[in-house]
Amino acid sequence: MAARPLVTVYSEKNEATPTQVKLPAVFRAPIRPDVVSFIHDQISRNKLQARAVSTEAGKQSSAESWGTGRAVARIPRVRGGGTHRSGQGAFGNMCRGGHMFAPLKVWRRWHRRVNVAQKRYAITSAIAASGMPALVQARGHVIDQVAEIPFVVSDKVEAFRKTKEAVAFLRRAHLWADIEKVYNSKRYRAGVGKMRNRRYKQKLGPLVIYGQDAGVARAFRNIPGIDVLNVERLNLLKVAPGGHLGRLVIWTESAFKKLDAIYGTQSAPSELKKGFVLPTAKMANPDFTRIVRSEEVVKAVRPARKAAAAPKVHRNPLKKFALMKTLNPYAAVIREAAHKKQKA
Amino acid sequence: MSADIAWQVIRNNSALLVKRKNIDKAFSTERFNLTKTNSRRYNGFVNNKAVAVEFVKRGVPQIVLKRSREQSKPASSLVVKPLNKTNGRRARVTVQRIVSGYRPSLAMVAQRKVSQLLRSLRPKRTTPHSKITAEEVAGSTAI
Repeated sequence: MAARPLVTVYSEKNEATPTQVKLPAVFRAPIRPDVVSFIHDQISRNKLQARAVSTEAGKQSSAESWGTGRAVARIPRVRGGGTHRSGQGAFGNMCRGGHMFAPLKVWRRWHRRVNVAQKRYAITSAIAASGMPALVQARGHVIDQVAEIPFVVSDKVEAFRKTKEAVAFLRRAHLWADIEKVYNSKRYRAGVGKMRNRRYKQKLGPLVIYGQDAGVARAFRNIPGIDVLNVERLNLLKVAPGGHLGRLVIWTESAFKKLDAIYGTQSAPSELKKGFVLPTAKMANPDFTRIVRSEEVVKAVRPARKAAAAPKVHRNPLKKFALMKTLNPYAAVIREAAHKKQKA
Repeated sequence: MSADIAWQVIRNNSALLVKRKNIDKAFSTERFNLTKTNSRRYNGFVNNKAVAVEFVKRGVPQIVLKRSREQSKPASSLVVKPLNKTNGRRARVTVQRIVSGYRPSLAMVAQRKVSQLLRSLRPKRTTPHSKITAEEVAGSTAI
């Protein structure tokens, strides 16, 4: 399978410690944006709150149709007189003040059951993607100065109690640029959510994943953009927000080491997830360039045909002075004189 | 992992992808993209070897290469080569030498980019070239 290199653990001051951990096998799981996107969509429905129109909306009228023969449409009309409302249509979805077509009901199926195996597939894919700097950068995180991806920090970070310590750590680790991106992205939400306690929107920053909470959650939670998770209870909505792969993750050493036990390896099933084995990719070697240039393929393939001689491109001597000079050597003299005239 | 897999993830959405109406070929504003178009060849994230030609500050170009090995260590994965040349021809030749030894398929584009950058510094011509004919020249230099 894919190689599993050693990942250096960094101290809380961003110095490389001598400890190195073998990359957990989860990071070699197949990266499936389609699976992650779908499962994310399903799971995110589980937080929905029911909404509906009132059951009597548009029906609280004693309107009755006038029947035929009165030169009006047969829609039920409001009884009585003395007001504009009298004689107006009622009840229909086409009527002003009538009920809507197919009134929304609270018993709509809001939530979705997702198969456990699918949820696990999605989360392993999301973790694998967080280990690829290309995907993390493409998602928009600022990681130019980060020492290594995946970024693993010593367990001292788990014992942080003050946000000050957390901030100092993020600055030292060159992760503060990502937080500044979050600060700069704070803006008003468009729409009515503004008056429903969802006034601001901002981007997401790094995700801190710890093995044991000795204060880390409280130290980091007030920093904008940061989410904190326990490695045994990872949340796809946080690891792949929006269904998009490549969130920047800060692992603590104990969390990183637990990953092999939680998700298993290529040879060993998971210890904590019953019956779970890491998903295998459809292609063992997905590197197209290497396949195409490999000895076996090159040997089996006929030699490349020489491309038909490219037609000579006709360039315009009026625009290309070098060409003009070969056609008319006196052009150089003319141009020189023109320059002199310009300067005069 | 595989650049091809990463490309399949990124090709249609990414933070730096710029899609606009009536423009078929999307743009992409990564630093290591020479043409800033969204394409597998020029993408700056997905390729192990990529080139950036940019200004350090106004008038001073530099060329930045990605070290092709240590992709998992972003902080130490770049090689910066300052080009202390403001002359377009000299800069272009240097760029050609650097990039053709690094990733030959990008050499042409990189040269074009550095020339473009330096040409943008030259003052724009506001008055048109003055014209002169061969007869005038002959007349003025007549002995």
